[in-house]
Order: sequence, then structure tokens, then C-alpha cells
Amino acid sequence: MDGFVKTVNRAHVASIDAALETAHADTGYEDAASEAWGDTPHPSYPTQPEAVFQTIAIEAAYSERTVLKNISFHILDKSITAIMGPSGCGKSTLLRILNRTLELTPGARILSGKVLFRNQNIYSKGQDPRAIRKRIGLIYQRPVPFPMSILENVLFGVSFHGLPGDMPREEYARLYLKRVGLWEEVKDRLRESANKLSGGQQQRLCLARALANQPEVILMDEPCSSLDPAATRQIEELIAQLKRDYTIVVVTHNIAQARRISEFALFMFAGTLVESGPNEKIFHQPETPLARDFITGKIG
Amino acid sequence: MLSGKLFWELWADRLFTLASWILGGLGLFLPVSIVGFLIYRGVQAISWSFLVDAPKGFPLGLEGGIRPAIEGSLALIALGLAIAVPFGVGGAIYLSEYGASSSWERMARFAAECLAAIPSIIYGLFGYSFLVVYMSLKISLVAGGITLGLLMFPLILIGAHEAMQAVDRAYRESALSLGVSRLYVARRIILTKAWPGIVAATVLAAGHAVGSAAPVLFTASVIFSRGGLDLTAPVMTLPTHLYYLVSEASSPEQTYGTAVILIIGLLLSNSVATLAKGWKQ
Repeated sequence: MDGFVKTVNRAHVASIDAALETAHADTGYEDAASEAWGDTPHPSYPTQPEAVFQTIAIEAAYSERTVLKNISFHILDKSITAIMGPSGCGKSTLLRILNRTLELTPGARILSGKVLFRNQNIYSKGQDPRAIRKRIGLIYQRPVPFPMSILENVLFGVSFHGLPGDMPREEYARLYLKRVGLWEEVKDRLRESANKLSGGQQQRLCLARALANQPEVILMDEPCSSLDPAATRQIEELIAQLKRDYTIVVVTHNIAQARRISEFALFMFAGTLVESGPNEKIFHQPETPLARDFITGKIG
Repeated sequence: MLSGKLFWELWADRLFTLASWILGGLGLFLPVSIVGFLIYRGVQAISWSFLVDAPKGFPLGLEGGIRPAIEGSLALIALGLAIAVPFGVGGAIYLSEYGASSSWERMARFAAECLAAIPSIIYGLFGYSFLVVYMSLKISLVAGGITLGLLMFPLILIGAHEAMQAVDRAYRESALSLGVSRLYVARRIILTKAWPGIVAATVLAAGHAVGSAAPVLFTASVIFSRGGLDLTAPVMTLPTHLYYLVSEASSPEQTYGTAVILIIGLLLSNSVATLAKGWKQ
């Protein structure tokens, strides 16, 4: 952030500071930080029973460095939400908090706050992180095909959790390869190594692998940033199709992409949530000068 | 014209290149000359009967072959690996995939490195006092096998741990984000990616153990056996047989012949290790 601030002029620095001030003042940072884990709702954050996700005053840190401050928002069922913001603003960290994968990073900790998934705190005692990760899938920025065949890649998670019913393995894999539009391209080489696929094909394979787990939510961390424009379009079309059955959260630093694919947007800056709401509001009538500058391309 | 400074830098560079070539050549020349010398002195002794006969003559080993020593060494290593591989690889999986805190991982790794640095004669003494005497296993194949297992365990643990640490973190994160267990990830991804390194470490550890006389001297070996393997009976081994032949000084050909067989075995195992390291998934 330091490097970034140096590159903008004084007027901008002032507007950024003002925005951060408001962000802190609005949400009662100090109160939330002292609150312990628990299932009782925070007085200033009424529960949103219709929301799939509701986060309440989350703070997170890598070792001693606080990277997320007082993040509260909610996400509606079967919607597409984009998390936007410049590099290093904490959007990927926030995404990983939503399915308990942040704790896989050494040194990463959640200091306080709550994440309610279907009105249950996924961080309360007795919650099995594996069960949560199965219900909330995550697609990474760089596709990671596992060192095994295409078929085994698709079935990797579901082989562990148990295939539903008595469906033959190949039949099951075909279902999800078709779902991501990969079946026609790979049907003759299901037993070949997944490393031979192109980048776009690998990313769709990773999506099929996550879908085969039968999740309710799909989180995506800049799923197109390592892909060419054609592969990007395929993934974006897939996201639009998947919306019928899944709740989708996409992290992106690409404003145009967020505008194209999402219905709701969260705008983050330097570890704080600056503004959130439906696309029409965020993209056409942003409330904060910071969000306005980001949307119009002055910062980012 | 070159300026003075550039001129000297050019010459310093040439001098350094020459020195590297000489030192590098020496590094290649030493092992080649040792193996060459052994083969030159020992090749007459090597024949089919040298490999398949028991030692004969007086002093023993003057004639005949070294079959019981080859058998004994292979049996000891097989037994040792049967102990060291599961514990070494299992320990590495624990440290790499489960290790609760990084300070605990570093401590365990430090302990393993200390264990690997213990002189082999100390393993021999431990095997003798603990296994042979205290556990009453007597001087036997089983006592020697366990001692060699202990010797190889830290080497395999360290090698396997390194190989697993070299596997891209992204595999672990992607796999665990699907809600599977760490053991499942270790079994299906980490071991698949790390096995060439594990095989290489295992073969190098076995090569080190098969050439060490000290650990088996007091725990497993005898001067003469007719062959045939029994867990509770002592065996002949290649390094201890070599030791007896050298100390008797009666038959240089037989001595060098035994050394050649041992060296060829080690060269083969090191080649396997090098091949395994280059293996790609």
C-alpha cells in the first residue's frame, strides 16, 4: 500500500484517508475487536436469516501484520458476488476465510469476528473444517491439476467423501465434465495425465473437480487471471450458467469482469470493506470517493 | 586496446577457469582411479565360482568364493530396509504433512540430522549392548538387520522429508480445499510426486549401510559360514569379509576381488538413485 500511495497525488491521498476514516467509524471497529467467538449475534449486526453468508466484524492477520479489519457483509443465495479491490487489499484472504482454507497458510490467523454460513458460525467449536470445505468449494487463480489422470482428477474429492448411490465412477465424472463443457474435448483421453491439457482446460477441470464434490457455494480467486481471452470468456459463460444452482463469489481486480458477471459487488481497500451493494449502486452511484476512483480507473 | 583493469580481469577470469578445470578434473580422477585400481588388481579373482562358492583354504578365503558374504549382506539390508523404510517414510509424512508446529518440525529434523551424523561404530556398539546382550538376540541376522535399520532410518527420514517438502504447496492447498484428509493428500498426491526422491534416498542409505563393517562387526557377522540364512544365526558380510582378508594378508587377489564386487554393487545402487531422482511424473 505504501508504494501505491506514493504514486497518487495529494488530493487522492486525502480522499483515501477520509474513506478509511469513515469505514472505521461506520462499523465500530473497537467494539468488534474485543468481542469473543460465540454464537450470539452482535448487537450492531442483526442476523440476516435469508443470507447464505454473513460475516461479522472479521479481523485477520498474517503473523503480526493485520490484513483484514472489521469486515461485515452478507451474501444472498444463488447470487454472483464480486469482491474487487487493488492487489494486496486482502480480497483473497477474505475469500479463504469463507471456507476455512485460510488456516492452511502457515501464520495466518483470524483474530476476531464470525462467519455465519446458513446461520451457523463455521468457526465455532465442533465444526469440522473438512465438511465445510466440501460444502464450499474453492477455485484457485492458477489451475492445479493433480498428478493423475483426467478421470481421477474429477473424482479426487468425491472418491474421498463417497460416491452417491451406485453410480459408476466414469458415468459420474462424465456428468461434471459435461457440466463444464470439457467432455467433448477429453472423452477419448480420460486416462491420460491432466498435465497435458491447456490452461483453460485445466481450469475447467478444476471446476469440474470442485462441482463433483456437490458443493452449495463456489468461491473463485481470480479464476481467469492466468488465462487467455478466449478461455476467460468460456469461464465467464460457465459462471453465468452455474448461478442457477450455486451461490458464487468471485475475487477479481478486473472491474470490467466484475461488471460483466456479477450482481453484487464488494469493494475493498487496504484490508477494509469500503463499499458493498448491488452492481447498479457500486458501478453507477458509488458513495465513497475511493470506490468512485477505483471504478473510474483512477486507482487500481 | 584493453584498459589495464579490464586486462587483469580477463586474466583473472582465465586463471579461475583453469583452476576450476583442474579441481573438477581431480574430483573425477580420484574415484575413477580408485575403481580402476581395484578392478586392475582384483579382476583375475572374479569368476562365476567366485560369486557362487563358499570360501575355502587355509587361512580361510585363500581359495573359493564369497557367496555367503553376498547373501548375508543382501539379507541384512533387506531386513534393515523392512524396518527403516516404513518408519522413515512414515516419520517424513508426519513431519511434512501433519507436523503440528514448525518449531516441532525443526526440532525433530535436527534430531534426525544428529542421528544421521553418529559414527557407524556407535550404532555397532549400541546394537551389541542393547540387541545382542540385553535383548539376548545373540550375534545374528536379526540383530544386525535391526542395527542397519537404525542406521538407515534417519537417512531415509531426511531424504523423504526433503522430497516431500519440494512438492509444490499449491497441490496441498488445492487438494485440502476439497475437504479431504491430510493422509489422503499424502497418499494420492505427495507420495506420487515425491517417490523418486524417496527411492533415491533409500538406495543411497542402503548403499551406505551395505558398505559399513562397523555396525555388523559385533552384531551379525562371523568369519565363516557355509551359507543358508537363519534369522537367529550369524552371517558373513562383504565388508567384514574384506576386513578379515585384509588383516590376514594372505591372498591379495581374493581381497581385491571382494572389494570389486562391493564397489560394483555400490556403483549400481548409486546409479539407480541418480536415475530415480531424474524420474518425472
